[in-house]
Amino acid sequence: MGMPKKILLVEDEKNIILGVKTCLEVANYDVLVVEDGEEAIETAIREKPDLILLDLMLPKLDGYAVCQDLKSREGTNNIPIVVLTAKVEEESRKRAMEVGADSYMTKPFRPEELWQEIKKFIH
Amino acid sequence: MSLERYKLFFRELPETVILIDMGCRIRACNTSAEKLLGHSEESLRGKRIQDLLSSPPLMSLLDEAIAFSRTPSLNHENSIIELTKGDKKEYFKVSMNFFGAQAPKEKFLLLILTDITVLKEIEQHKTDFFATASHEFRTPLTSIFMGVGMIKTGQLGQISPKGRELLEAIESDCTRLLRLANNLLDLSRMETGSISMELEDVSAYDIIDAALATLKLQAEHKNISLYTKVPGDPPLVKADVNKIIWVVTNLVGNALRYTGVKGSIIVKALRKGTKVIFSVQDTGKGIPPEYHDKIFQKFVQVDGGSGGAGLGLAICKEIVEAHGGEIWLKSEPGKGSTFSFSIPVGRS
Ligand SMILES: Nc1ncnc2c1ncn2[C@@H]1O[C@H](COP(=O)(O)OP(=O)(O)O)[C@@H](O)[C@H]1O
Ligand SMILES: [Mg+2]
Repeated sequence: MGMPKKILLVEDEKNIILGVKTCLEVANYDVLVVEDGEEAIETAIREKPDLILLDLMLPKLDGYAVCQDLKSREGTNNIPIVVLTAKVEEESRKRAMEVGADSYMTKPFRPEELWQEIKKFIH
Repeated sequence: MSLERYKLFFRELPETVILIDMGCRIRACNTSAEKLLGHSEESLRGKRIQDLLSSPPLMSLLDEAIAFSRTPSLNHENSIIELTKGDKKEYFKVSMNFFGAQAPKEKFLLLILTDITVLKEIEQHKTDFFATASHEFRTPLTSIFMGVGMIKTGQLGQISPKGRELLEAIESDCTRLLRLANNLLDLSRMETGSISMELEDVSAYDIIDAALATLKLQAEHKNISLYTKVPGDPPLVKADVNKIIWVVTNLVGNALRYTGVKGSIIVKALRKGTKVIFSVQDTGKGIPPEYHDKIFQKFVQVDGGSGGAGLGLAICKEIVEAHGGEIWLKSEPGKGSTFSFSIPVGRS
């Protein structure tokens, strides 16, 4: 087995962090967690994760801005970003895709769904 | 009462009242109309209404009324018009009536506009509230789904059979809660018309096919036979595909839920004049007659339903009516139910 893949989870809800982190660790991923938008950008630049799970409503800088920033930056623009959000509206999905998100999952979801989505981007 | 008093009454009515002749020219109006149109009655007299109010839907109603010399049939959809005042939108409910019928020359049309902007705003608040509530439900549901799902994998420790049963129960009730949140949101959006309709011509057969695709497995599990009957060339309907699939899915979903094992369900589509009638017939427990009138209302369930919230049929009705169609029910307790709805036929 190769090195475990690194996933950056950007989420500000404690209970969701617990659930998602557990779900990823059981599947052998390395998980970094940050809870606001600014830290998300700093950490992504520094750590170069293999994938980012990004909530949209975040303190300091929202998920759209984070996504736009990372996707326009040399070095992070190739990292797949999967948006995890409670926003079910079509406009939110459109906007996220416009700022470069690779995929859009609405909350709630089950562990299997999350694993499946991640496998589309990293093997 | 004196004529003067009557005049005063007319002038001070809170509704906007405008008297129009058959040339669409204003002959008289009240104070509220003066305010809306921004001129005094004096200077409005003889002016064409088209030049003063910019609302194509209202103009086409007036044209129709004058052309056919009768009031057009007004419903919830076409009787509400939107007028822009500065950067503010105002909403009015239109009603009209002819009077002075002797000679065509003396015929007038009384146009009454009732300001319903406040009602619209309340509706909007309601939709916003449901959107927020639905959103607020999703966050806690996420951690519950993840938590239960992770424990269920067994990878965090072994689970006893009783424990597994409880986890299944939690998961199924979370699914129910999520469905309720989704339904409330859909319903309020449909009610305020804030979901736009995307009409296209589509085969009734394809709609049924798409709806049944997600339900076949469920039918097999319950040992219920699921048939489709679309005789001859499948008729086209003019429909918002996703919404009508939603309706069929819901009706068949109900039929599955309220029909026992070894029952059968038949889904049909049949052209009748300018409409296509879809029907979902089951051999289930049926619905008592006293419920037939109210079963399409929100939260109405027979014996507390079974795991639903009583919103499905209310949403079906909203969707069908937004297509200009109707939905109805025939049922005999113990023998089964047939839910049918009609929507306009499409162009091939
Ligand atoms: N095919 C059917 N057979 C018997 N009863 C039905 C059927 N469809 C609907 N009902 C009754 O109508 C009620 C309202 O249905 P619906 O609005 O879809 O809500 P729900 O299914 O979520 O309770 C149900 O609770 C049930 O009592
Ligand atoms: Mg139902």
